[in-house]
Amino acid sequence: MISTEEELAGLIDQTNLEMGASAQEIAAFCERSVPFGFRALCLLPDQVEVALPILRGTSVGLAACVSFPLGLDAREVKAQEAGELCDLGVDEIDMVVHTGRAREGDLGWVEREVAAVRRAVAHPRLLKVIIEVPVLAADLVGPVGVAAEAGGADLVKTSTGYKQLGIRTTSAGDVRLLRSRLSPSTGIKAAGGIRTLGQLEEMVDAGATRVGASRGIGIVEEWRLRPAGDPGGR
Amino acid sequence: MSASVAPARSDQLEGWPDLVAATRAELGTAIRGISRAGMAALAVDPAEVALARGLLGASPMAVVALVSAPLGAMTSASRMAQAERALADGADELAVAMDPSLVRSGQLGRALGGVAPLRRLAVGRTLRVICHLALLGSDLGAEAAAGALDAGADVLMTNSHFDGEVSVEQVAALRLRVGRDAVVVASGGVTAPALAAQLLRAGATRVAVGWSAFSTRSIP
Repeated sequence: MISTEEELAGLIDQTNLEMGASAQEIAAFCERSVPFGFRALCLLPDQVEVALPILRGTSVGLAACVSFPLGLDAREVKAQEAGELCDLGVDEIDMVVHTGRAREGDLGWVEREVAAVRRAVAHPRLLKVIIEVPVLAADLVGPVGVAAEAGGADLVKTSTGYKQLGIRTTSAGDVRLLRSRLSPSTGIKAAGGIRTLGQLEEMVDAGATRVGASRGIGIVEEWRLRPAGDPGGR
Repeated sequence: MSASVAPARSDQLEGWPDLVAATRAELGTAIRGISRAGMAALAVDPAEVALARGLLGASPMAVVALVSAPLGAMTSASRMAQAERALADGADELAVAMDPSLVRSGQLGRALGGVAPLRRLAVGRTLRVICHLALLGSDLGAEAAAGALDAGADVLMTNSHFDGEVSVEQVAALRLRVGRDAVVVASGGVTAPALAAQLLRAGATRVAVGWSAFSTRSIP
C-alpha cells in the first residue's frame, strides 16, 4: 500500500520517449516534472544534454534508454552507448535486450549482452533491463528475466511500452510471473500502458518496485484528489 | 490502385525490416523470400547484418545497415560505433536516421553535422539518410533532405517505419525539392504492391517494402 505522495512519486519514472520531441518540449517536460519529485525522468539518449542541466541539484534522477526500442544492436555497441551515457552523467540505464534472441529462448545471449552493458554501468548507477514481455511466450518470461538478472540487472523491466511496435500493454500478471522467478533483491519496473493511479497500484501490489509512465504527473494529481481514508491507499 | 499504374518491377523494390522481435528462423524466411523476389537491396537492423550477409551468400542484393534507426536518437559517438560495427559485419551500405529532434529544435545544421563523419567512414560505399518526412512534414523534411544531399548523402529515404506511412504527396514534394537526379527511396509502412506502384509514379526511384509481406508469423 502506498501511504504518501512522496512514496508514490518515488516509484515513478516519469517518461518521455516521443520520437522527434524538440529540445524545447523536453526542457518544458523536465521543468514541469521536477517539482513532483519523481524517482527519475526517463528519456532518449539525444535528450540527455537537454535534461542534465535542469535536473542538476534536484532529487530527480535521469534515466536514458539504450538500444531503444528494438534492442537490435551488437552487445559491444549497447555497452558503448551505455558507457557514453554514464560518462555524460545519467544515473540509470534502461537497456533493451535483443528481443528476437529472447523469443528464441537464447538465454545465454541475453545474459551475455546484459553482462556487457553491466560492465559499462558501474554501481551505484542502476541498470534496468527491458525484456519485452508482450512478445515472449509465457513460458519464456521467467527464464529471460532470470537471464537478465544473472547478467547483472538491478531491475527487470517489463516492456518498452512503445506504441509503434503494436504490442499489448503490460499486465499485473506479467509482474507477478516475474516476481515469482526473480530474487527478492532484484527490482521490477512495470512499463507499458500504465496511465492511472489504479493501474499503478495494481502493478505495485503485483510486485513492481518501479513504474514507468508518461502520465506520471496525472497519476500524482489523481492521488491528490483521492479523499483521505480512501481504501485505495490514502 | 488505378489500372493505369504499372506494377513495380522487382529491381525497383527493397526490403525493410518491419518484423518485431524476429527470431533467426523468421529472419531467414523473410530474407530468402526477398532474395527470391529479386529485390535490389535489403535493409537490416544492425545486429542482423552478419546474419543477412551469410544468408544472402553470393547474391548481388546490397545489404543496407540501418544506423540510429528507427528513432534517430542515438548520440553521435554511438552512431559511429554502430556504423563501424555494421561495416565490419559486412554491410554494403549505411542508412542513417537523421536526428528528428534536432531538426524540430531548429538545429538542422547539427543534425546534418551527424552525417559528415559517416560520410568519411563509408568511403566508397553508398550512404543513405532517412529524412522522417512523415514526422517532420513535407516542407521541413524536404529541407532536411536537401541538406543531407549537400552533406554527402547518396540516397534519400523518406521515413523509418516509426515515422508513419510514406505517402504519394511526400514523395512528390521531395522530388520537386531535390530535383530529378537525386535517388529517392520511398520507405515507411509499405506492404501493398499497389502503393509501391503509386509511389514510383510519384517520383520514387525505389520503394522499400516491409519484410512482413514475406512472413506469416505472429507475436504472442
